[in-house]
Amino acid sequence: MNKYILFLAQFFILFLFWYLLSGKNIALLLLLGVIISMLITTYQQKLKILDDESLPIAILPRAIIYWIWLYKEILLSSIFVSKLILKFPLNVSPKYFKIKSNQKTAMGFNIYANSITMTPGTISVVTNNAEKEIQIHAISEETKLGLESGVMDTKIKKLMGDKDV
Amino acid sequence: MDIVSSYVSNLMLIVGSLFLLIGAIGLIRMPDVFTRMHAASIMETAGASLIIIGLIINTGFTVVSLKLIIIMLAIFYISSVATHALARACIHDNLKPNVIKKESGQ
Repeated sequence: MNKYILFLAQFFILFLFWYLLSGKNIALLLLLGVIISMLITTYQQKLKILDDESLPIAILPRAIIYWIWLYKEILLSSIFVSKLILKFPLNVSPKYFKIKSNQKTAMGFNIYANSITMTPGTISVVTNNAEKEIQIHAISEETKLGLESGVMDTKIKKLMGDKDV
Repeated sequence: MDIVSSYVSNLMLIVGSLFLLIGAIGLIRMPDVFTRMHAASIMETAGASLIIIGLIINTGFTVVSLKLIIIMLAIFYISSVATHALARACIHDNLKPNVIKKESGQ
């Protein structure tokens, strides 16, 4: 992304955050918000920490579609784990296994590991970015199979904009 | 319209509270620390988000609902990182997950 677009986006996000937390339309507060957001953004640019990785606005439109899909998955597997909890003779058979990811970037790998943890029924325990390998604890065979089908991995590849899906 | 939105928000609040209750039951019933984490992750994703969405529908689109969206995003990100840190600390402490073997002998 162009660094001016990143600058403007970061400024806008910080000012929106300021406005939301104050919630008042007083000129002095708004002016202070503009000054402080501008100072913080300038300082970030000076430190060179304002780049595509710290502010991934390039993938935001695709990320919203991905979040809706992820939320559907979260609800479905919540219902699955709830059924497992409420079954009267408690019958869980946890699995502990490794899974390979096809992500190319560190950010895609990070999103993948976080999405696994967010979905109830699977937890990413140990991650290895060099080998792109995650050790996973799953609560049952079904959640393990759902993860090994690789649907989530492919969705995140699409989200990150990799062409060879 | 007002009646429909109040019914929808009440339904979401009730379902979210049910998920919280089920998660709390699971925290007691599950055998070891990793399976208990699975039960807790129901509470912090499905339970919390359904309650917050219900509250957003209840208040309508105001500054308060945007604040609620920020709270929901913060809960999602913080809880997943905290769960990962907890699980990794357990492995680091040589607490092996209690994996029940199937009869096929894998």
